[in-house]
Amino acid sequence: MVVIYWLISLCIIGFHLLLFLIMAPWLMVFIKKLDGWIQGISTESFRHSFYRIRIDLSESIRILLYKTLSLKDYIFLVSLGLLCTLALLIPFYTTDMIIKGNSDFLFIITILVMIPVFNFFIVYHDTSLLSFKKFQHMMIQILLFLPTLLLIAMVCRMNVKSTELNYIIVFFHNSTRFMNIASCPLLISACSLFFLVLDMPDLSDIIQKDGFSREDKGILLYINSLQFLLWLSLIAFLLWPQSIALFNFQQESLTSWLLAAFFGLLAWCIKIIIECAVIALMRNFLFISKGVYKIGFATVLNFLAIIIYFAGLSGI
Amino acid sequence: MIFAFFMSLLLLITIGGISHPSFQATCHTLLTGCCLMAGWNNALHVQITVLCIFMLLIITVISNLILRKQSFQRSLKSLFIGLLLVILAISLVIYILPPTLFRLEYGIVFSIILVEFFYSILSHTVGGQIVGMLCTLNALTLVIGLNSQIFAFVTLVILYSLFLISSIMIIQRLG
Repeated sequence: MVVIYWLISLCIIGFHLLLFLIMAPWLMVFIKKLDGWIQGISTESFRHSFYRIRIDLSESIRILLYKTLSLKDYIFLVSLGLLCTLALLIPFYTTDMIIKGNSDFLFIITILVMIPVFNFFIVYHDTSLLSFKKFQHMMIQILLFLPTLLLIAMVCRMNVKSTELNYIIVFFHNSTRFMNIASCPLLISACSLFFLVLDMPDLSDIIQKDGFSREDKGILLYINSLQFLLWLSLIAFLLWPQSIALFNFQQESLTSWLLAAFFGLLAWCIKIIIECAVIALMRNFLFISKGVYKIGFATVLNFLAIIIYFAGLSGI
Repeated sequence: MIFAFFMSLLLLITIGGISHPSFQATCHTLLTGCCLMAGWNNALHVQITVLCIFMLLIITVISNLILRKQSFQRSLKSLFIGLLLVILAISLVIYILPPTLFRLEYGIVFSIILVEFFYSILSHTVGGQIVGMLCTLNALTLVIGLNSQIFAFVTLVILYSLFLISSIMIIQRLG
């Protein structure tokens, strides 16, 4: 029986990773389309996007597999590895047996912050001072996210008494009476994350300018899109943790888990589409949310989440 | 009481009008170390807390070496904004959080975060920005040191090393 559980777990991980790697470039195309629709600008067709993504990815894979690897290629590989690890740690539609217990929120945010710091090493050689400064600016921007992320960790800790994502799912599946007191601050924290990911796809503007070959551009854009999808998945997780299925065959049958996992997958897709729409709307209509102010907004929202949590406690 | 006074003093020195990033980085790292010692009893794994303190000591030395030639100006206006932010943060935390929670730790974390904000946003020099980033990482160290597992600590060590190497690169090219 244990072997079957492990096999199912491995299948979940494989599908999860595949979904993550395939979905990411399309997400960027979708968000660009949305931007175009809102602004009334014509964007490239889906057919053209498909060919572009295919050419970019095949060139990148060819370089990573068949070329003698330089330091830059190693950095790309490690970044991709870190992103795949993160994708496995954040439950998209179901929990599983293998990763259970390792999905610490603090661990996840440390790696998420580390990736731009790691990518900074790409621009040390062969690029202009402009690219160097832009990557440095990007690194500072992402490190400025940390205070807000720590506040979100605090909100999770106060609500659920743990920062482990799997524990949060278990908590929301089991608790009935105090669920609203816990879910409301978490929802506000999730909304605060929208302000942080608002400028995330800006990397494409930076690397279009100079210092990068066509293959480097392709793989950097791919890394950026993977990163963006991870942030969106983290928001989706905090928005509605109950939608994620629980991998627990002691209490429920395989059929009911399959149904729950399918529902979780559907909910994840819908959440991601809604998030993209919200981000596109915020980018085009909410001009005050640019720059440093957005971090201020996110911090204030998290303070609000803490206040609402205590207000809820006093109402019991 | 004496400990709290010492920490407040360090905090004031950190936001004070010192124009040497290396000294500010030292003060801030010492402050984080003090916070870790203050939350020692509530830590999830005491070994990680001890490791974090050791790591902070090493980082103090390295950051001093990196930032030794850097300096920046600080105006009276920015000093007062920083003081106001810290006082506001601590009073908010003490007002909102009930005494059963670890008020001191969270209060200090908030102050550290706000001091960091203050540095990163207001100082436009390379040294100031590096100190600002170091302050954010110190806040992360404090939270991981008190609340986290060993693998988060290992990732933090890697992040710190990457950050220090990138700081050396930034100072070589821009500083």
